[in-house]
Amino acid sequence: MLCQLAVSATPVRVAPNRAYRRGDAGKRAVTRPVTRVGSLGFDLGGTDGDKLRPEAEAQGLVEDAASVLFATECLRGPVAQAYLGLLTQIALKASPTRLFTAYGAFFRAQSTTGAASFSDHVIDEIITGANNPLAELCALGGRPPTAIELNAAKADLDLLQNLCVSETTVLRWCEKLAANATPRRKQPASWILAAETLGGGGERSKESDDNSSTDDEWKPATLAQPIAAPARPSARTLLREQVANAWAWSDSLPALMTHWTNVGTGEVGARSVLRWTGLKTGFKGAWVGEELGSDAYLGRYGEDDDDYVVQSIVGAGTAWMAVEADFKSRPSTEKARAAILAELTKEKPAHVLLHGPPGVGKRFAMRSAIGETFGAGVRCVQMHRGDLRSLAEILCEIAKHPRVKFVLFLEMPLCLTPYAEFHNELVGAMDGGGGVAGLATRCCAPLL
Amino acid sequence: MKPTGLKPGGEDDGADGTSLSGRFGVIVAMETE
Repeated sequence: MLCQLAVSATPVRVAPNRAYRRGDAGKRAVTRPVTRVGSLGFDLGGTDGDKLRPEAEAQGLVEDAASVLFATECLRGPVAQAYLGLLTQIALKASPTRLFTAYGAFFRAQSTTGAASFSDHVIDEIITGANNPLAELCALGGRPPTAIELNAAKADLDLLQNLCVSETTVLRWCEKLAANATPRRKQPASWILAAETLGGGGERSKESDDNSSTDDEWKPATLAQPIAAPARPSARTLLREQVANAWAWSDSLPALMTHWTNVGTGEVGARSVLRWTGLKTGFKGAWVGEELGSDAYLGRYGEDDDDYVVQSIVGAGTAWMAVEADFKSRPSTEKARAAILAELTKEKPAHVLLHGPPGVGKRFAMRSAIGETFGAGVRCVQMHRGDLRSLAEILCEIAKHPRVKFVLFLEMPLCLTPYAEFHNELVGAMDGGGGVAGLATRCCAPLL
Repeated sequence: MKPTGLKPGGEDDGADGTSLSGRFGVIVAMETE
């Protein structure tokens, strides 16, 4: 009897540690081998925090995840994979560098799901029932589920419930491991605040608003509010100085948010003329700027009057910046330019086709007319024949920027016959296809 | 694929349902100066 009390290495039924379980997860008893060291007199009266072994807890959760029978699809998404990656790093007692890298990956994935917490996300996945044999059987009908299927589904639900510990608990595990490795280093208070917000369903947002004036200085844009033209170098310089001179860079967040709201982000926010470079790399500025060096290409550090800088923002060549006065000796080109510009400046412009004999100036007229709209924030996607293969991908990328008015500039010999290559793709895109309903995109094509 | 000197509405432009040029709301013609 004494031996049985001292060390019980055989599995016994114990209630899981409720401190590390979310919601009512702790109501269910689980079977785990437990060593009752307390009864041997090894408990020296430390606090709960001292007894916390994050690596053992995390290892148990990883094993729970590996044990899922039917609902494996719930753990295949990027959020669950990031979560399991983080748990694995905790179980391995990884260095703080790897730990916080994994935590960052989980944070980014979880914060973009729209779910209030990871457990909510997993429950959503369970409800979806993708690739779950029992769910598919229910949807298919015809026969009742077998006992095996029912038991497997119940086991999965219990395992997933175990797996979904709260974000706060995972954060504490990371902090404890990091504190053991680098005791003198502390995460910034803003990082802790951000991490504690995760899984709180935005509950902390009101509290954090009290400490910042974000709401006073920044308002979200509506979808009807169009994106402005890319920021000029002088505007970037002002913003850069505002960030650099702030007591804490985080104080300048409202100014940065205003900038992103006004001009957009990435290459679409920085350039007026864009080229499609592939699914992974997306849009890039059309002007390579090799002759002028990387600074000129970036167009971020020059003066506003520097033509090279303006070219780098707008795009290659001077045709985009040609004005009405440049066409005085070419009345036909001027007339065409005016007609195109009149259409493009309408609230709902139509697709524009330009045709004429070779060398008459079609490309020049089209570029200068489109360039005239850049000041209003229009972005031009310069397309050549090879880009038509990626037309669907380009339209999908464009759909990610609903506030940007795009012009698809088909700068190519356009063949009008219905048997021509990409004819159907073009017709579909111009009819509003490609999964881009209500897109403010217009095709402009000179028949070269 | 050859560069075309075809004009919109020509013989090879296709019928109403398949016409590419028919999708363009504005067609601007340029002539030699």
